[in-house]
Amino acid sequence: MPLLRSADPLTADAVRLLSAIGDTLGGHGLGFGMRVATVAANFAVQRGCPPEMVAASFYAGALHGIGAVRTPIGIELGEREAAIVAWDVPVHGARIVAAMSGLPPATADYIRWHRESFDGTGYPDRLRWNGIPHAAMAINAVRAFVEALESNGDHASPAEALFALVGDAGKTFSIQIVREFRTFFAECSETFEAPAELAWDTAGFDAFASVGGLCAEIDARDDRTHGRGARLAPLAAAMATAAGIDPEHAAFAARLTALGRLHETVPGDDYDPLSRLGRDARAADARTAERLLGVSPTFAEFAPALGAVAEWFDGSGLPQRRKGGDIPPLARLLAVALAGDAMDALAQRTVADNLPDVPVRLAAAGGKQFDPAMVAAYVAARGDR
Amino acid sequence: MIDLNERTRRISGSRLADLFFARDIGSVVDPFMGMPNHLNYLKRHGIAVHGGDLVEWFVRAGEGMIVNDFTVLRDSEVAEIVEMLPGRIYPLDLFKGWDGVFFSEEQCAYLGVWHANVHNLRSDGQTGLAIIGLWHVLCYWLQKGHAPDEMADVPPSELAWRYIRETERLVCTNNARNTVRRADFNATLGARTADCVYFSPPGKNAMKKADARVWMWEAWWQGNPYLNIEQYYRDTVFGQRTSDEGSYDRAITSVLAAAQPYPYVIVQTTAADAARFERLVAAHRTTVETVAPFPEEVYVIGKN
Repeated sequence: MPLLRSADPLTADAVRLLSAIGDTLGGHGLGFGMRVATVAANFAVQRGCPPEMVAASFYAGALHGIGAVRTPIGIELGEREAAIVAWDVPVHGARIVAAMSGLPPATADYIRWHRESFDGTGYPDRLRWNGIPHAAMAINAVRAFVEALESNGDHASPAEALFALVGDAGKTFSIQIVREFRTFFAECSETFEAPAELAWDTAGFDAFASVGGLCAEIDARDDRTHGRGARLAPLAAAMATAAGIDPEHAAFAARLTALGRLHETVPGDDYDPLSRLGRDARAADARTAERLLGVSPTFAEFAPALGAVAEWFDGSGLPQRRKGGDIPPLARLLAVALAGDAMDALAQRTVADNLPDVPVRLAAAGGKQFDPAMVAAYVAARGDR
Repeated sequence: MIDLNERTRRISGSRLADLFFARDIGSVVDPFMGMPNHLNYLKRHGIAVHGGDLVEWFVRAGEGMIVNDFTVLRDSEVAEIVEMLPGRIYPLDLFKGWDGVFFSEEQCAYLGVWHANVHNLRSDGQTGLAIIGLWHVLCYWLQKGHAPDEMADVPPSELAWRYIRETERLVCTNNARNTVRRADFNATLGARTADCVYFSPPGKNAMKKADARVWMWEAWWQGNPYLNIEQYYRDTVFGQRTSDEGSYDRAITSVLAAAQPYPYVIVQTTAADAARFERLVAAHRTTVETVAPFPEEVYVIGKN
C-alpha cells in the first residue's frame, strides 16, 4: 500500500476532533469518521486518483457527518419529516466545510453528494448515474462498508461487510464502484486501514477557528445557548487574567463547552444552574466534552478541565466528587462562567423577578458550589463588560 | 442490449439553492426542466418553482413532486398500482414489441399492467408519484440487463412497491404556487414571472441522443413502444439543425431573448462550453458572472 506525505499534526488533530463531533451526532462510535477517511483515502490511492482527490476523499470521509449539527433539536418529528430533515445533513456539512479554508476544494462537494444513490433515490439532490461524482460515491461505499463492519461489533467480518455493498449494486452504488471496491478489498484487505498520509498542504487551515466555529454551531442549536461561546470567551479571558490562568486558553475552553451538548435534549438547562437537580445532566455534558476532546492530542489538554465543570467546590459535585484544589482551576473558572450565563438566559425567558442579581446568587454559592476566588473574578469581569 | 452510457448532466438543486440564496432569488422558472428533482429541492427550501418540458412524463412527474403539496400514495393505493386487479382487463401485449429486446416477457406484462393502473389513477399528484417510482423500476431493469449477475433479483411488484413508496418523501409544500406545463420554452417563459430563469441547455442534436431511459418511459406513458420523442422537438428551435455552431447559438439566443424580462438568468454548462455561453449571455445582460465548482458543472449567471 503506497503511503503519501503527511499533513501537519495540528490540522490532523482538529480534523480528528471535528470528525468525532460528526460521529457523536450520527450515533456512531468515536473514530468512525476517521476510519471512513482512512479507508476512503486508501481506496482512492488504489483507484489511481491524483493526490488532491485522495486528500479530498480523506477529509470528506472524516467530516461527512458534521452537517447534522445544523439539524433542529427539540422538535418531535414523524418518520417522514425526520427523513426529509436528514436529506439536508450532507448539504449543511458541505456548507460548513466550504467555509473552512485550507482543505482541498472538492471536499465540500464530496460531502454534499456522498449520500446520493446511483439509481437516483439518494439525497440531497437525487442525482443519478454518472451525474454523481465518482469520488463521492466511493466515500458512500466506504461509509456503508465501515458501518456494516462496526454494526457487527466484536464479530466484525470484513467479508460480511462487503455484502452490504454488493447487495446494493445498481441501487445505491454503481456497478463500477462495487467492482472497484471488491478489487480494493481483494488486494488490500490486510492494509486498507493503514494510516493514510496526505500530499495536501493544509497551511491555510485554521484549526482553532474551525473547531471554534463548529462549537458555535452546536451552541446555536438551542435558543438557550445561542452565542454562548462567543459571550463566554471574553468573560473567561478576563477572569483568567485575574486568576493567573492563560487568558487565550480560557477563552478557547469557553467555546469548547459546547461539545457537551451534542444530544437531542438538554434537560440540565431546565433547572436553575445552582440547583442540584440538574447535576447529573450537567455532569453528563461534561463527560461528553471530555470524551470528545480525548480523541485529539492537541485538544486533549482541555479535556480534564471540561470534564470537571460540574464538580462542586465542596466535593459534592459530579462525576468524581472532586474537591477544592483537586478541581482544575480552569474547570472552576468555567463552572462559574457557565452558571452565570445560564442564569442570565433563564432570567431572559422567565418572568420571575424575585430572584437576587446573578452576582449575588453566585457569591452565595461561593465555597459550596463554586470557588470563591473564581466568583470574585467573575463579578469583577462582569463589571468590566 | 441498449446503450446506457449517456453522460448525465449534474443538475443539483442544493447547488442552485446556494446560488439563489446568495442573490436573494425567491422564484425560478426552468423551461427545460427534465426530471425536476432540482425543482423539488428548491421547493422544499421555500423557493417558488415553475417548470416546462415537452416530454409528457417529465411534466407528469412534476405534477407529483412540484405542483402536488399534500397527496401521497398510501400502501393500499400502491398495492392497486403494482399488481393486477381482479376484474380489470389489462393490455398485456401493449409492450410486446420490447419483449426479448430490452425486457423479459414477464417484465413487458408488468409494464402493461402498470400502464393501465397508473392511467386509472384520478389524482394528478398520485399519477406523478407513481410515474416517478415506476421509472426507477425501468431503470433498474435496464441496468440489470448490463450486469445481470451483479445486481440482486427483485420481484417486479416488490421493486415497484419500494420505489413508489419512496416517492412519499418528495411531497412537500412551500406555501407558494408552483407550476409545470407541457410547452416549449417560449410558452413557459411567457406564462410566468419569477426572479430567475435557470436552464441547462439541451446539447446539440440532444433529441436524437436522448437517453433510452427517458424516451422509453415516454413511450411507456404514451402506450406506444415505437414512439420517437424526436417528433416533440421538430417544430422548436432545438429541433432544427442545431449540429452546426451558428444554428445552435441562434437557438440559445432565442431562449436568452425570451428570458430577458427576468432579473436573473443562470445557464448551466461545462468548462468546455463556458466561453460560448458567457459570450451569448453577455449579449443580453449587463453583468455576467461565472461560478465553476467543477469542470462538468459551470454556471454562467447574467443579471440586468
